[in-house]
Amino acid sequence: MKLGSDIYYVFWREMKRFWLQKTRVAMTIFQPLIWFALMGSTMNNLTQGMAAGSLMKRMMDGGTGPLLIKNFLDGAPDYMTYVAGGIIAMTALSGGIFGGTTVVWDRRLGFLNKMLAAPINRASIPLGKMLAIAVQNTIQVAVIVIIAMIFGVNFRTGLTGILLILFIAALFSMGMSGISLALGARLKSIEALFAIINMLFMPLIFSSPAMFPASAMPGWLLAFSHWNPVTYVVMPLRVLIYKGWLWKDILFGASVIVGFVLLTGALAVLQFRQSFS
Amino acid sequence: MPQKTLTIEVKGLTKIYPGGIRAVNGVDFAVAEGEIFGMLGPNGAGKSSIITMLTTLSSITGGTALVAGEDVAAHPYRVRRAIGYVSQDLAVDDNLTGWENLFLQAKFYGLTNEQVKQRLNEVLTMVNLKDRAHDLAETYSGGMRKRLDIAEGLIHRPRILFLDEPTLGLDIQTRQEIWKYILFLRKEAGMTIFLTTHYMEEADRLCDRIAIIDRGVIKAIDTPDRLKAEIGGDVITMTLNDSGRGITRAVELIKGLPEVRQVKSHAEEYIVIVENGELTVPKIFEVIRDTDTKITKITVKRPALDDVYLHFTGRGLRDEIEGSKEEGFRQRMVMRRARRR
Ligand SMILES: Nc1ncnc2c1ncn2[C@@H]1O[C@H](COP(=O)(O)OP(=O)(O)OP(=O)(O)O)[C@@H](O)[C@H]1O
Ligand SMILES: [Mg+2]
Repeated sequence: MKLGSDIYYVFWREMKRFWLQKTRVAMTIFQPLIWFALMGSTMNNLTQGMAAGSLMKRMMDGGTGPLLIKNFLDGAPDYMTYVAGGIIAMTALSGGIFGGTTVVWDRRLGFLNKMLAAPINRASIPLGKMLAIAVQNTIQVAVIVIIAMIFGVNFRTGLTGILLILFIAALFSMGMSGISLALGARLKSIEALFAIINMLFMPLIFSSPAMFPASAMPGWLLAFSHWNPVTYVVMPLRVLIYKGWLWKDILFGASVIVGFVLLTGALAVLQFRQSFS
Repeated sequence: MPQKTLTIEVKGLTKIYPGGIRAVNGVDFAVAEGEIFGMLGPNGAGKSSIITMLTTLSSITGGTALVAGEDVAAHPYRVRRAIGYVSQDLAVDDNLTGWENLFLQAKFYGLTNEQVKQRLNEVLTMVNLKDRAHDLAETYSGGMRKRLDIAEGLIHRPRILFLDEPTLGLDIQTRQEIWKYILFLRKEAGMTIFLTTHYMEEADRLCDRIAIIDRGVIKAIDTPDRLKAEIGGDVITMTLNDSGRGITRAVELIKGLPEVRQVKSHAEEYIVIVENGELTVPKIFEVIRDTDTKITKITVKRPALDDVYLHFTGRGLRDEIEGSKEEGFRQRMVMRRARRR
């Protein structure tokens, strides 16, 4: 029961800090807005062109039948609808992957030692932080969903589907934060952590179908995407956004993410135990 | 103080950091219940290293340490429950209010809501932060932050309070206020207090006993008065000037005077410990009159802890040391500001 209470108060602190960081809260709204406004409308036109191009190529190759934008965008009616799932996944990824920075800061400012000198369970520090990141991410994704709706994205599975979207995205951000927290506990400098985050972020996004359809990926990238957790978040999110209740796909993606969270959570706890025995 | 119960007992304590730095080199000491015990030493002497080992924050490389009757290495959790720790780093969370900082700490120590209410009131009054309790800590001055930090160390009424440089970077008024709290805590709560400092005055004013530490080794442990008495007399500091090779001989002659206890050289200066300073100065001039050596500067004073320090370590706590420390303190404050957005 002490573990539960310790986790809660670590979580409580992170949430208090979250509301104070006005820039961060503002970015939560601003960033997806930009994505939809700029990326969304540009890509809408571009993908139509790309689809047309690929249609032409197929026809010249003597391919089968007419290809619609819909097929090119994995069944989405337009790029905006297609990319909504990708933006949600990307938000969850970035919310999670930066989670470890708080450990490095806490260490630098001596707050980590203050926690470690108190009789709290070591595991409560990463777990409380992971939980806070999940909740913060839920808030961010809820904002994105609303913005997506304003931009005309129609969520096919309704409110239940949206809740499930929030849940899957939260789990994913939590899982990514586990990796980041483990790194944060191990590395002592914020620069080293940022370097690793930067090295991971872009490849994780672009080796997944978050922004561009798998059909546009070269073969080697497609092969790599099967090992990318982002792929398994984007997939059930898209199903929920525009394909409907395809339970098999949803459950498959969700269970990969649950496994991912358990794995990285364990990693973070072990790393904390090792770094701060 | 052998008749009192010991609450900290350290034997052969050693810390070697990865990379081979031997920060603490086999120290022994014991602290009695209710005592204010100070550790005095310059930058890098190993003070913080000792504190972080005793507070379970870093591993012990060698030796044993008992804190509150528990072996630190074997039962860190039990030790944590008995102690309070206020680090050198001014570790309050700027993004929380003073009240929230204290609340969080209280909850980490498992206090009930009722206890929280009562204790928070108590410590906020004590450190004089009651009217600012609901402001964010980032709006506090350095002194207020330090007081909040100390209050956090007290919230669970620890049996032993560890204070690492409790007044670093504070002005003299705030420093004196904090001294008052520390003395009050011992008197009212019977708390044992282990503190480190590099301020002589602080060690002198607060501590029942002082350990002088230098390069990881304890050079002396005693009450401030007895440490000063150990020097045995007044301290004459002089600078010598010589055209030939006569300095050694001049020093020999000075050493030969019956009033002179000891002569040490430190940097450009010679430190002479004598029984009666005012009467000895003319005799020193007298005895070296026939040599080529001239005295270019000379001062006489009663021994202070500075001299004790020099006596035991052969080095002074110099100004540059203090300068670099305060620099470090400022850097930490800048870092905090950079973090807020
Ligand atoms: N984490 C660490 N890793 C490696 N070396 C360290 C570490 N912490 C301290 N040291 C080294 O150990 C020695 C003692 O440092 P310590 O911080 O204990 O000194 P201190 O007496 O507290 O000094 P200060 O007055 O500056 O606080 C120094 O040489 C320092 O460089
Ligand atoms: Mg120190």
